[in-house]
Amino acid sequence: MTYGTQVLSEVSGLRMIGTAKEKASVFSFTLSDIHPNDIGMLLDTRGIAIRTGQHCAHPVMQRFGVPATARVSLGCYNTREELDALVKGLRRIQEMMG
Amino acid sequence: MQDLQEVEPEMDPEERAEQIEDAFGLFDDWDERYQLLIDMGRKLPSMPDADKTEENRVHGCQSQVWVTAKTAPGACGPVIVFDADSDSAITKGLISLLWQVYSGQSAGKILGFDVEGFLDRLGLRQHLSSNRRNGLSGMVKRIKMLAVQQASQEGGS
Repeated sequence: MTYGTQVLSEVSGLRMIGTAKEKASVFSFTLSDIHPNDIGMLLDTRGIAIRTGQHCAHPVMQRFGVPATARVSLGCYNTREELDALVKGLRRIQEMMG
Repeated sequence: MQDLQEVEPEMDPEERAEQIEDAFGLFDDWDERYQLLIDMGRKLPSMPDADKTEENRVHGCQSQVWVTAKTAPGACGPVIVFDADSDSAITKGLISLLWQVYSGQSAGKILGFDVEGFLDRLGLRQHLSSNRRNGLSGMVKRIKMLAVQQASQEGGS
């Protein structure tokens, strides 16, 4: 989590939604003005599975004015290399969207 | 970036589809194909914000999609011209595919075109999630419905 928070914070245009100190092992975020569905789909082509949309939390997302996010959930089996692949994927997506 | 042009009116949807299939055939990985799709979406002529209404919204899409149609005089009778937009870049690319084959065609040609075969040959139907496939079918359905409406108006006038 610490490593993930660090590498993701280095991606320009990435806005982390939810930054509580003791939060569960999820990264919910938006990336520039790229639609979260597009992020999910393009990461999928790179073998990275994430969740996108409102995550069955419509009222709270409406309350905070966030239409949708991309969400990465880590398990104890995920590695630093996989987080690096995620960051690489996100940078490539930014490139594609120009 | 230059907008996509209305293609020569003598080109059938089948010929336009073939051109698109050729373009996709140049790439063998999906990363590059998605890039092409996104670029095609970016070149779609822009839709006036005033047209992005609930009435023009296509249901069945996870992302927002709007489509409008109007009739315009063509070289061989009236044709239907579409305007469309989406808040998702990939969806906009998918719309652009449909726009390139359908816009500027007569209602008869629109209804006669085998769009499922076209999307299959691009490999898109197999590659898209079921949500996206439903959304794409929703767009096709809306376009065909607009074509039928226009055709019946022509018949009546």
